[in-house]
Amino acid sequence: MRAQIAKKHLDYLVLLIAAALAIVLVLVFASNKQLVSLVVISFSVFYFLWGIIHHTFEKSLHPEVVFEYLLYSVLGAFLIIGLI
Amino acid sequence: MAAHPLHLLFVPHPHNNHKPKILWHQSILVLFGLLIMGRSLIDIFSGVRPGILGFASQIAPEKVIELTNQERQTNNLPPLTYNKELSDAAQVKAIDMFANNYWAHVSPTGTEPWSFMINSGYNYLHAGENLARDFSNPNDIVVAWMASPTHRRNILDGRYKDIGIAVVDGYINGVETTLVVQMFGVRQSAAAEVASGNVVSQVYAQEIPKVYPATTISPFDAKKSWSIALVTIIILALALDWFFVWKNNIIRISGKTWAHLTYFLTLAVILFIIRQGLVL
Repeated sequence: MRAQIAKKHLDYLVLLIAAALAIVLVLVFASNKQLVSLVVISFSVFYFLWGIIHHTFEKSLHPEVVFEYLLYSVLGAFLIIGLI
Repeated sequence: MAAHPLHLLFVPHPHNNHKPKILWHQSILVLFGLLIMGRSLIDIFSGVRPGILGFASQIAPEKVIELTNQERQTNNLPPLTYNKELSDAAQVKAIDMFANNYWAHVSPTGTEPWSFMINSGYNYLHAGENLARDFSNPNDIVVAWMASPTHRRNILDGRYKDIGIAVVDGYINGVETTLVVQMFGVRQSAAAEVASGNVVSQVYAQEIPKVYPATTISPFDAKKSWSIALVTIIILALALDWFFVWKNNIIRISGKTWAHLTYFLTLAVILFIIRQGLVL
């Protein structure tokens, strides 16, 4: 049980680090549109995979959950990509 | 008792299967459609009414010069003086870029920026050129130039005495663009100055009109506001969902609201960071 909670916290930590890294990279490459696009797309793909892996480990992976992460990842990427 | 539609839209409830309706898959698809529709409408509107939505919204050449001189003064350098010949050269350069469809210091035919200066009657000893496109305000342009080592070097070059600038709206490769051409220079000796002065009065007797429309909103800012509005609605819905799921200890088949919140908050920060425009 304790190992499961520690695993969950590690998953969230990985997501937080990825989010912070995405923001730092966008700040660093702000003047390069191609690199900013690459960072946003990579972060969105990472988020989708993070969701699948997290729910697989939690044994709560369901097609509906996969579709939800897919929708959010695509919507999130489009929110930014259309502007760059 | 039936719940209020707004309640069902934003708060988990037995009547919405314990998930706010705005977070249902169908609703996310609707939000996706609204995002694309909003952006398309802005594109159409900026094409039909270019006087209202245009890229050259608030770029006054005088302001770019003022901000450039502020940067020089911060670095203990004397301010540059506005020079009409350099501004004319910048104007002709911008028009040449639109006419020949290029975004570069050197034209496809090999014409360098310096020849525009000489043709306008500015006989330089040292000269430099900074370019920018698609910015919505002068402050962002100067910030972007200062962030680039080569442009910064031009702005903070102690040898330069004069500055000229042009802001011109047009189309490059079919895309509406506002070009900002900034030229720096210091003249040659007084003797050469007199000789070139005669050429100026003959060749550029007529002033080239400045072509920057007085518009109020850039399409980029309009699209960015639309994206921010949608992401705010999603973040609000996710925050409410997270709170009520935690408070009522709801168990359901769904993704992790906390993770979704982290993802969209990150994107919201990125939305605020990104700026329009390129420098060269």
